[in-house]
Parts: sequence; structure tokens; C-alpha cells
Amino acid sequence: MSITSDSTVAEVLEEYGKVTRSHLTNWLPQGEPQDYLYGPLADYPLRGGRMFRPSLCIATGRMFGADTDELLPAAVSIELLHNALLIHDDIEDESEERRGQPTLHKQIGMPLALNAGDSLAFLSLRPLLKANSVTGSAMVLRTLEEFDQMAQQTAEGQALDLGWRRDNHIELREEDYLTMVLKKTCWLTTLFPIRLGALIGSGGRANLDSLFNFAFFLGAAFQIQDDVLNLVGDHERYGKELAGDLLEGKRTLMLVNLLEISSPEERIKIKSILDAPRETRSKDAVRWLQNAMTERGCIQYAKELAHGLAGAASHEFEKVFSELPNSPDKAFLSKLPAWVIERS
Amino acid sequence: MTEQAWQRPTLERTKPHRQLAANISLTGSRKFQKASQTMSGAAKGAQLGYEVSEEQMKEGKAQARFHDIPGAASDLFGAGFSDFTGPMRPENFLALSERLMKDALLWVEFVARSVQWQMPGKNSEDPEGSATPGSTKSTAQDSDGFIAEVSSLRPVEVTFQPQPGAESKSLGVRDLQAIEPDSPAITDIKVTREANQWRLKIHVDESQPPGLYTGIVYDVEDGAIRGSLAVAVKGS
Repeated sequence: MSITSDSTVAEVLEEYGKVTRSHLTNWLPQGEPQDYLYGPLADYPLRGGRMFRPSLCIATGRMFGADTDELLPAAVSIELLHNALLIHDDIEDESEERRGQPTLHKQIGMPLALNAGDSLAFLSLRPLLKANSVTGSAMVLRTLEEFDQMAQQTAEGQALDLGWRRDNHIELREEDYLTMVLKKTCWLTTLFPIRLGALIGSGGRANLDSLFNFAFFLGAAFQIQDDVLNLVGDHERYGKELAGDLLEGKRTLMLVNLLEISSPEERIKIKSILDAPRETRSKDAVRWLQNAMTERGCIQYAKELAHGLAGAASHEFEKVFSELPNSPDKAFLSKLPAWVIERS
Repeated sequence: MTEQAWQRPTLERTKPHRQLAANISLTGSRKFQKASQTMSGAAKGAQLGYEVSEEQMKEGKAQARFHDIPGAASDLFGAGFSDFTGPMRPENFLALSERLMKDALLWVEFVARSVQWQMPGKNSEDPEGSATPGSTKSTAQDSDGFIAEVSSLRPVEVTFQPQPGAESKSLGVRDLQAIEPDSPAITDIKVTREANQWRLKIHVDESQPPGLYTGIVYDVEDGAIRGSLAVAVKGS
């Protein structure tokens, strides 16, 4: 490993991303049916991505004393599952672009994409199970418990997101949004990678609950910034359709805030826009929503809230990790709260 | 295990979660909102984060309690185990699973090979052992030099299956676990050796629920299993 305490977050992500990607390709099946399953299954993992989640796992594990080799099965598992859920998310959200290309179901049709997502999700368990020879059976059981917990929380979060949209709930508050984000995003994006890393790195001795606030706040800031970028980001760098969240009627912090500060008449109009199916939601309506969020300060408010969460994450980091010896990995993790809200 | 124990608790609400302050009264709700609006976005972000975190902690603990997972009471969501000193660490779970598996195999074996002693308990005749009617202590001996001494108010049946050569080892006995999950283990068991005579002393407390209790006899030198012991406590 060539990272140092002075390495930027981007450099560490590049380093850990490279080693994870290299390891990950070994887990992608090569046989038949290639066109109908294994090719589509490998599509998203091979499109790239920031490798934020596996890097988080590796860095946390190394900070607790593990070797990268011990952490790679967990890192690969996390990335495989993340990609599996992206396939399903894109179907559920009717998204059109992923990492700068058409979504998988747009390319091969929904039935095959669903099946590829299922298969990839099951495949993600395999590295954890095969880690038996590296970490031992007791640790495998612990990692599977963590996996189970994360999977349940993630599904609950996704259900809230989809259910609120289906039923066109508009009486949401910020704490509802954060609860949904905790479940839907944070468990897979930050809590699971950090908990797995700490678990493996410490040989099971770390108190995983003490990491909760750091991971939650970091993940929530990450998601809010992602929502902001969906509205105001650089399309090429963002890799997804801009304002796609508005087209999909997603309950973002900006939307929650807009609803909260709107007049009764405006709320009726917003509800009517959100009530329309995606395919009939006009560009004018989406533009009206986007402008309202900008003019009423909702985007700025979301950025500020993300800053607050990032600050709280930094505070928690100091509180929890101050006793651990300084290392490049600790330095990387300490920089993440600022990075998640500054990225473009 | 009842069917209910495998089910997740029913969620109390399916609609968006409301803050307590907003539910107390309209006036209270407005006051709360006004106070929140005076905060900066950043301050509110941190405050909301901690509030949601606390709420999730409570839900997690409630789930852990519902599932009654030993050692998981402090966990967030019931499935993990953060306290490594807890009585049901996964490592312990594995060891327990292995032990149960071995016990099961041995159980099958001692159907054919076991030594059984009937211990009559209070007010019963002792057909095989040397218990005195009316006393709480019974003893019985097998032909290989093992003596079982049981103190119990209720009739018990002791089944002991030593492996060949066990009598020449340094033996210990684990607590006898109940088949019924809610029954406490029989823990008061001693194994002593006098000359070439092994003596198993088992005390069955008056409050011990009727049922079958099993455990392994092991070599204290290397932990290897050397036999099995089962005590069936009859109803009084």
C-alpha cells in the first residue's frame, strides 16, 4: 500500500478501489449463460464507481490492525451487494442512467435485469462464506449476522421510500427523512462497511455500537449531498440524469423542506405534481419544483444540514477513535466527513 | 420455540414517524417548530442526527428484548452482539452447536450402550440402588466402577454413557442443559475419584422442573469428550 497520512481521500479511494476491483473480478462467474445472466450481472460492477463502501471497510479494518487481505472478502461482498441493489433500485425508481450509461433494465429488459440483480445479491454472500479459511468460522458467523441486520434495515428503508411515493405522503418531516436515509442508505453505505471492518480488524473485540453515530452521520451527509448533486450537479461527473429525483418523486430533504415552508395552495400544487406518474410528469412541472427549491432556499438549507451532520460525524470520530494510534487509514477516515459534503 | 418467537414484532406505525413534541398539542407543536426555525441549518442537522440516532437505539433495544437474545440487550437492532463477554457470543453459539451435535450423536449411542440408574427420590422404593426410602439421597453403582449419587426430592433416572477407557482419565462434567429452553440447567454436579472408583454426585434442586437434562463428560486434561450424562427428572 502506498497511502500515507497526507494522501487525499481521492487517492485512498483510488488505491483501495483498485485492489477491491481486482479481487472482485475473480468472483464474477465466467460460464454460461453469459448473455442472459453473467454478462448483465457483471455490467454494473465493471462500470466502475467510487468504491467508497469497500474503501471504508478496508480503512476501518486496517485502522484496527487487520491486513488488507483479511478485509478483501468483506470489501468485495459489500461492493457486489451494492451493485445488486443498484439494479433493483433502478427498476423500482424507473431510472434511465447509471454511471453515465443506460440502466441495466433499459438495456436488457426488466425480467433479465431483475434476475441478474437477484443472482448478484446471492453471489455477494460467497466471499463472506469463503473467508472461513482466512478469518475462521466464528468470524464468518459474525459477518453473516451483520449482513442479515444490514439487509433487513436496508429493505425497510427502501420500503419507506417507495411506500411514501406510492401513497403520495407529503406530511413528512426532516426526522422522517433522516430515519429513512439511515435505513435505506446508511446501513449499506457506511454502517455495514465500518462495522465489518472494525469487527474483522479487532478480531471481534471492538464495540460496534460505539461506531453508530459516526457512521450514521457520515452516511446521512453523504446522501443529502447526493440529493443536492442530483439537482445542481455536473451531469457528466454525476453519472445520472439531473433532477431525476424530482421526476421519480423521491422524498428528498429539499422536497420535505419545501413542503414545510409552502403555503397551503402551494402544497396542493406540489402534491398534484407528485401524484402524477413519472411518464406523465411534465418537464415544466419538474422545472417549477426545482426553481422553487432554489428560490426558497431549500437547496442551501439541505447543504447546511449536511454540514451539520458532517460536523457531528467529525465530533464522533474524535470521540470514538482518538485512542487508536495515528495511521494513514485513520487520517483517511478523519477526512471523510469534509469530503462527503465537498464532493461534486 | 414458539412460532411467535420467530416473528418480528408488529410495527406500531406504518405512517411517517412524528416527533413527540408535535403530538402533545397544537400549541406545543408550533412552539417547537418556531424554536427549530431559529437554529441554523447546520445546528439543526446535528440535532436531528442525534435525535434520530437515539430513536433508533430505543427501537433496537426493544427488538432485542422482544427476541430475548442473551447478551444482545445492549445492541441496536437485536441481531448483533456487541458485548463480547455476553453469554451467547457467536463463538459460544458455535461451541454450543458443536456440543449439541456431539451430544446428539452420543445420545444415539447410549441408547444401546448406556448404564441406567433409577433413583427413586422421597417416599419411593429403590429397586436397584441403595437409597433409603424417605431420604433424598440415592446411590447406584455399575459394573465398571462408576457410582452415581443423586440427592433429589423427586424420582430421577440417570443415564451415563462413558466411552471405553474413560475410567482411566481425569474426568469433569459440564452443566446438564434442559431440552426445554426455559428450564434452568442442573449445575450442581461433581465427579470425584477415590482409588479406582468414580463417583458422580448430582444434586437436583427441589425447584428443578421435570424434564430431561443432558451434558457431556470430558477429559479435563485436553477437553476431549469422554462420555455423556443424562438426568430425567420425573414429576413429583
